Amino acid sequence: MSAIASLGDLAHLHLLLNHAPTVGTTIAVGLLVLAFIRKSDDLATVALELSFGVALVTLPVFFTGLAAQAALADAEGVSAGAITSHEDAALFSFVMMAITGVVSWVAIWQRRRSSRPTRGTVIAVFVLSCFTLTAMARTALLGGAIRHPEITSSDGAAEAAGGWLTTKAVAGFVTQHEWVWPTSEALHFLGMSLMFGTLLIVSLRLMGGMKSMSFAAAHRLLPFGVLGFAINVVTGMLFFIAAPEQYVDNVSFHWKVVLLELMGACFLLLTVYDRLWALPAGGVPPRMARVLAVSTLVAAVGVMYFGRMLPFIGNAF
Amino acid sequence: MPLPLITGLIVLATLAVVGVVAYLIDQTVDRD
Repeated sequence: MSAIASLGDLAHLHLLLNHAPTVGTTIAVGLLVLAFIRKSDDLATVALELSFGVALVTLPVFFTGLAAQAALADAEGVSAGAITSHEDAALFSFVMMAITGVVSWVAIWQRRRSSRPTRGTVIAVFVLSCFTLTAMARTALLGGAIRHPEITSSDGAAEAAGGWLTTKAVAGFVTQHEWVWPTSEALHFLGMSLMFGTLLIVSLRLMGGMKSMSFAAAHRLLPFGVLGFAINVVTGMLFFIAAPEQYVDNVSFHWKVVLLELMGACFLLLTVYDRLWALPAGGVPPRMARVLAVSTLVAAVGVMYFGRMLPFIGNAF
Repeated sequence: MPLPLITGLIVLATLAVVGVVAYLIDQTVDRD
């Protein structure tokens, strides 16, 4: 299977995408402040949706970052220390962003289901977003320092970051304990099952099956899917950080990430789409719902297929 | 501890946590 992107292309993509988490989170925080001032539920919902979307985009930002690192190997005038500092800051920011994304989704789901205010969850998203924004801004500064000497202080911005949440520490944890990889694989499959099972039921309803069930009833299952997604982000990141060379230049992984983004977008639409929510028991789903359901299943099956094909189509293991 | 045992225990513990979290999320909205 021919490659869809070289390491150089991915490095370029990293330079394009890496602004999304910082700028996107800034806009989301601004919208949330405005929503609080204007007491607008609609504005808050938009901010939450944006926050989830930004979290989704942060996945390829992290992955392409490691491709950029590989592309820059042996390049002149580039400090390996500066890259490592940026990478470790990026890992912390990614974790914060992922937590913010999941809590944002829970707030969107609650808002859809309940007439009760979900102020607590929205405030939690706001606080998490502020921390995430700080972490992302630091990551961006350290990333800029790799190629922008004008923003580097005289003693260099590439101070070594310590602590347990560094890519080196995580990679060491995965490779030095023989139980971590098989356990993560088992959890990755269970997460996948939770996610696919949920999406299958919801999609089948939207394709005209199980008509006796209202969409609201199927919607209630969605948190299981998101928890499966969260398990797979954590375990997937463990694999990726422990052995990035197996993934960054692997065409199967590239397709997997593309379809993962599509699946995440479908997940968000399934949660917020007004016309679906109104679908009663016995109701015939609108045509767009069928398109969404098919897209969701194609993306989900594709993610699983390209994940399984990592060693066969791609170059892993 | 043998590998299959530790792997199995962590998987079961994670599933238990997922179950509890999903239940708690579900409790935050009204019963319909």
